[in-house]
Amino acid sequence: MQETHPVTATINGREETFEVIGLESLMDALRNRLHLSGTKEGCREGECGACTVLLDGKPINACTFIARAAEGREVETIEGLKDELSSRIKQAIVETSGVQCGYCTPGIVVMLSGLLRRVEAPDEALIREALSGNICRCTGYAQIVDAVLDVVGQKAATS
Amino acid sequence: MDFHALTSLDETLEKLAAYGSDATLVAGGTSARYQIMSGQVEAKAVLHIERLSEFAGMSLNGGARLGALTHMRDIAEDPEIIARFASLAMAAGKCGGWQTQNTATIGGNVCGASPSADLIAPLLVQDAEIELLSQARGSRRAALTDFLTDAYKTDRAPDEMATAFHLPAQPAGSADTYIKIQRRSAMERPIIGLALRLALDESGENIREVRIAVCGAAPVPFRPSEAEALLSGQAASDEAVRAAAEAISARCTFKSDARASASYRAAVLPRAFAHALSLCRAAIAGP
Repeated sequence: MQETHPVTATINGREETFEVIGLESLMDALRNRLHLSGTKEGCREGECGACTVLLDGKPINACTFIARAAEGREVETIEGLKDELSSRIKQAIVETSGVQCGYCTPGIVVMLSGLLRRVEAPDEALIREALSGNICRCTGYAQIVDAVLDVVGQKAATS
Repeated sequence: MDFHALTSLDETLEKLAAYGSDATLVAGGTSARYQIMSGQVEAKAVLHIERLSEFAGMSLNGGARLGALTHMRDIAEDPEIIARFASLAMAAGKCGGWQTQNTATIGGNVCGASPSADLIAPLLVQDAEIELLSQARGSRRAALTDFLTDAYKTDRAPDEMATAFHLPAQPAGSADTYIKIQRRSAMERPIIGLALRLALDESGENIREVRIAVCGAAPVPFRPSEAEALLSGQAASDEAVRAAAEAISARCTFKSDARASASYRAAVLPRAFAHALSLCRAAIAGP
């Protein structure tokens, strides 16, 4: 048995203490220690964005982030995103059929929540740039981009 | 393996001195954690330094000082960096996705010394210096060209950490850019990366000074000084540009890998160079 170490961080607004080993990733800790399995495992090397969470409000890949480095910090996962803005993003993605297999969807919702909290009305180019680290192999992104444009009240260029 | 999440500079320098080459410094961990987990790097101790806040952030006054722990995304979005050191903002904004850029740092990118590290070429064309700090010898500065010694190797002593990058004020009437040749528009290492800073004389025709840096085409990103000298004081005729491009290529060791063939790299580099020159000319001329 490898030695475990306690980490205390604010997860979705609640202080949590959990045990991790070595350089265990924040993604593994969220999924396996805290059973927050909405944070998805894709590539495990920071390429696909399925594991995107907000760390102190900024989107990061939880798979490359060392869980012990989250000590004292604020983490928001898809399970915690219940605010009005996030709900509007989720609803818009449903309405535009921006979900097919669904595996990338939590990461995309987290990324877009991070974007729209900071930028009120991003244009299509900025939306696409922000999503460049979130890989979706089903939709081709058009419906997801349309969903964001709906949320920010702009007419979708593709419709 | 020991792990230390450090928030005090004194403690960091003490631990670095104690562990020496057994320590691996980790900031965002986007690259270093993977290298350790996959066995590429052996670490007896991991010193997590991302939260040493005194080394995060930028200040500009003529030149610029960038803390080594400044995140890529902050560099990519900083209006003053975009206005005055455009190539650096472009490179930072093209290095992985935003998730990576929100954790990866400039210090990590440079000290990792990958042959295709995005930020190195833009720093080289600013004549940037790196500042390093150790408990035993205090602070020192080194030109980035001297600091990078080989692929994945630098002149950093085991007890030193990078603290800042210093960019001198740039010539008036100059502009810079970064061309990243990649297969997709995002999430790629550069097949070739080329940074350029161009300063024109008062006439706006002749080149007063040009600085060129290339990554992904040799073990260490480099400045092709022969090519720079060929163009200095010249009107950039097609012939002069072609001669300079040949001088750049002469310094490259083009190799084939999964991303591109050697012959593709050799063919694309002169075009990237000519494109960078025209982008800088247009930027100097203004709208």
